[in-house]
Parts: sequence; C-alpha cells; structure tokens
Amino acid sequence: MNCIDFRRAIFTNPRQPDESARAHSRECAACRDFLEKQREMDAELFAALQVPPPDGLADRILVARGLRPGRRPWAWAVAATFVLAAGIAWVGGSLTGGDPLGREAIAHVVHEPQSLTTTHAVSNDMLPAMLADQGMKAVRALGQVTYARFCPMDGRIARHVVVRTAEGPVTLLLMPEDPAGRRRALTHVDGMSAVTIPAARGSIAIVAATASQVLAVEKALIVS
Amino acid sequence: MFLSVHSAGFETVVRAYANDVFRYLYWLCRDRNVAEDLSQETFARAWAAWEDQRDEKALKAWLFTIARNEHARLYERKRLDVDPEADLDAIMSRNDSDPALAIDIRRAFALLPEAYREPLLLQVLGGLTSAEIAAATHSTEDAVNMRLSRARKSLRQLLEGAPAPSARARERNR
Repeated sequence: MNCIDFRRAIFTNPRQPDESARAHSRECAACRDFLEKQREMDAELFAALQVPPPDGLADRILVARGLRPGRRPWAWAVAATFVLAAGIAWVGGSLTGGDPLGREAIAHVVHEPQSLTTTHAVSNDMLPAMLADQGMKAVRALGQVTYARFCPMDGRIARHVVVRTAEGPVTLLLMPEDPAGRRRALTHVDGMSAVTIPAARGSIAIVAATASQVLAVEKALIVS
Repeated sequence: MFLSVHSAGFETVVRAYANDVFRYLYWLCRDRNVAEDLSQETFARAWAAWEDQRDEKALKAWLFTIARNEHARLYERKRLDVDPEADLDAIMSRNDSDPALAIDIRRAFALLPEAYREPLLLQVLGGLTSAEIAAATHSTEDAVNMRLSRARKSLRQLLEGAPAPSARARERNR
C-alpha cells in the first residue's frame, strides 16, 4: 500500500484500518500522523452530531405503542447527563477463543471505537455509584471517565464506561442484570484483552489494549 | 408471558436507540419536531414488525433503515425546505468541550452534498458498516466507500477554509 491508497482508505474508515493500512502506518510517520488527525476529526464530528434529544423521548415512544414504560433504569437522573445509545456488538469473523461474554465485550468496544477517542470529561461521581449498584467498589481512583452510555448487550442493558488510566483507556461494561453464576475468564482477541468477572450483582467486563491494563483495573475492584 | 418478554426486548431497544435514531433523523430533516414525529413513526413500524425481527446484531442497521424510509416517505408527501445553516448555531450540547469548533463542524457537515453526508452520518453516528450502509441506501459497498472517502476529504477541506463543494457538484451527488 502506498501513501495515496492509505489516505483513501483512512478517509473511508479511520476507525478500523485493515492489516495492510496498519502495516503502512507503522512504516510511514507522515501517514501515521494523518491517521491520528483523521481520528481526532472523526471524534470531533461524532461529538458535534450529538444534538440533544427531546427529554423523555423513549418514554413517549413506548406510551404511544401502548407499552407502559418499565421501571426506569438505575439512576435516571444521572443517566440524563449522558446519552442512551449503543452499538450491538458485531465484528466480522476473526473472533476466536476465550469466554463468549469476553468476546462479545471486545467486539462491542471494537464496534464503538469513538468511545476510546472521545475525550470529553464525564462526571466521576457516576462510576462509584454504578459499581455500588452491583455491590462493588473501587479501592482507588481508576481515572477520568470520558464516555458513558447505555448499550444493549445480549438482550440486556450494559453501562458502557471508558476510564482514562495512566496506561491508556480502559472500558468497563457493567451488567447488573446479567444472570449470576459466571466464572472469571480472560479473553484475548484481535489484539485486545478482556476480563469478565462476577459482581455481587450481575457481571462486569473490563476491556483494554493489554492484559496488564485490564488486570490492573480488575485488581482495584472489590465487593463492597 | 410471551407478550411481556416480547415487549421488554422492544423497550430495551427503544431506550438504547431512540436518541440515536432521533439524531439521525434530525440531521436528515434539520427540524426537531419533524425528527421526533419521524422517530415515533420509525418505532411504530419497528414494533409492528418486531415479531419477525430475529437478527439482534443487525437491529441498529434495521432501525436506521426504517428511519431513512420514513424520512423519504415524508419527503415524497411534502417538499421539506431545509436551510443548510438553520438552527445550527442554536444546537448546544452539554458535551461540547469547544462550542466554536462544534459549530464550525456542524456548518461544514451541513454544507456537504447529501450523497456524501448521509453515509458519513450512518457510519459516524450510527456505527453502521459499509455493507449495512449500502443495503440501507440501496447502493453498493464500493460506491459507499467512495462517498465516505470524498465526504471526509471535503469536510477536512471545508474546515481548513476551502470553498464548499459547488452547487452543481452537490446536485450531481444528490
């Protein structure tokens, strides 16, 4: 791949360059810089497109369908500070090995790459409250929260949170509604690592670029 | 029992996707009231077809396709006048860390030809793959990739001060 092909490919999708584009960026500093700038621009575009939705939109849709709005998800007042949204996890074919929930968690993060590039600070009060809702707490501050959304995973809603740690972004997928009884499992897929752990209520998946990052965050979480 | 499981799944999807569907529709029609009405229509159709929807992984693309069709249906019924710069300065998101930059980006985005803007919207906002965008827009994956590439190039040029793509080019690309 030459520089022109690389830039065309990056303009098409800066989030998921293919292997030949990744190989080119390792060898070409100018194209690496181009990729970083384009990713920043995509993150800025994503943020700029986030027009505030009308309050109570989902409730009105459900009422209009004759479906009584269910019990509101946890801490709706806090949730109102960030958007309900999601991506159903889907990544083509290369996922192998490891725990199914870990694979799904990695696929989810790969499919929502803007979660890792967005750098807007989100209230740090939220994560301890979410952990407490699952009977857990962090024994130390994990880092600045820069992303928080509700996402559907396996038919349930997961709280998708990204924390900026000193070693880089780490994703926590908090699933209080996940049936109890999961075993701890470590998964490595597509150059990413995930550890899935049972919480006092539900499960938690921790995803990052390296196993040491996920293990460091796992170590900081205890039953409260 | 079945109805309750059935509706619980739909409620999960509404709560997860309603805001993204609204945003997508907003950027198509640039009118909050119309976007909310179309969001209602989108989920009404989704609910009507919910029992037949089996592919959980394709749910988001399915909803965005319904939303796009609802917008097109409305467009067929009455000509929507969209002022490319209308309302853009008034949109303030709590997430705008740099409001001036956000306004510049929204203005530049609004100036893109529709044929460029829509696939970019579906990819950046909806997280759809090129194949899903091609299916939703009745196009080919190669054509979608070309439009995405040109969209980002044009957006970058606009933000760097280059003139907007010409009206003729915009018309050609509709």
